[in-house]
Amino acid sequence: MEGERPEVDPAAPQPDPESNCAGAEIGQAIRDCLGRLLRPRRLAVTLHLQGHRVAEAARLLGWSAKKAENLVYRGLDDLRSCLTAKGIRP
Amino acid sequence: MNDEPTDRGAAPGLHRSRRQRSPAADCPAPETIWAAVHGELPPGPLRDVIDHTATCAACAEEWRLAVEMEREEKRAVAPSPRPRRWARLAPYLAAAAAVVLLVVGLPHVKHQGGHNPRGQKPVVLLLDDGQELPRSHCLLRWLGPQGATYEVEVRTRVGETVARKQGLTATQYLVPESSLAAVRSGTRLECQVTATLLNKPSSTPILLLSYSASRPFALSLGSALRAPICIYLYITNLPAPAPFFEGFCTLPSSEEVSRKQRASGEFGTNQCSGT
Repeated sequence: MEGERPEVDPAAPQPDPESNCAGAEIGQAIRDCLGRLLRPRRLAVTLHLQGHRVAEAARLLGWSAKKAENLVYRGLDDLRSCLTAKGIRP
Repeated sequence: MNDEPTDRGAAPGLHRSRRQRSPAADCPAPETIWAAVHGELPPGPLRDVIDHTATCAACAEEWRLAVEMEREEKRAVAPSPRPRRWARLAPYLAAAAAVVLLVVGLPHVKHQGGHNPRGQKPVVLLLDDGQELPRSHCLLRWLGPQGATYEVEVRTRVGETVARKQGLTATQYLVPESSLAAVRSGTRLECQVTATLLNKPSSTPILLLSYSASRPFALSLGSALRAPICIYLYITNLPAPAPFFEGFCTLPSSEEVSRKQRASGEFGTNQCSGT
């Protein structure tokens, strides 16, 4: 069945309200934590989360690839710590 | 963790989710996000947009959409797989095509008495960011390639044309007051100027200026095939309140305005309104 257009099955299990609500809260927590990062790290991590590769982020921000990679790495580390402090763990 | 995944489809939290996703007043214009994704914004405004995207779900979604569309574009224009023999010949074929274009195209340029679009300056609107223009003297001015003809269109953000003029040879256009009569004070309008050189409008580089009330303007160069020359204007009623008098002066900020024009006082005198 792969490759076919997925059809909505009303009988299929849907995400329950609790998990949806939790998802929204996690999304808000990520945005909060992003807002607290140091700006260069925030810029790098935001582009990373938006689906840009390191090379693309570096080009957009006028950085070297090494610098962008470093900031993404450090920024994600900060983001992880912030989310953990909020009680959100992977 | 490659995306901002979590509040997608949050049906029970619908009200909250939609409120978060609907663009706020300080959200950059979609055109600005588009330009940012394409790397067409200067560093300062670009970083502002990214900063905003970090904390705004609606703009983050728009950003991802723009990224996806850009990748689709690249996929669409990517050459289909060809035999390696052709790949090796491609540079030579390109060089040959360039020579043919030069030989065939040069006499045509001379015959027209025009100028090669390459190397020409793009169209630059002589309007400041956050500019308010009085209804009775909504003068649009710009700099453009020599010998070009211009088409100006002023429209609302939903695309309704307020005023349109084609075949202009002058680099200015006074929007008729009658055209703006129905426009409410404070309305945000888009102004588009398209330069046509040698009857090839798409060959002219264009300028994209976008503006939102609480953010610095964003300036970028792009392709006429992708984005219009836009600046958002706020139409106001006259007489202007005294404290905002300076806001009605359309003093050009572009460095491309010749010093001679500045010295002669051509700008800043006949474009200032109010009392």
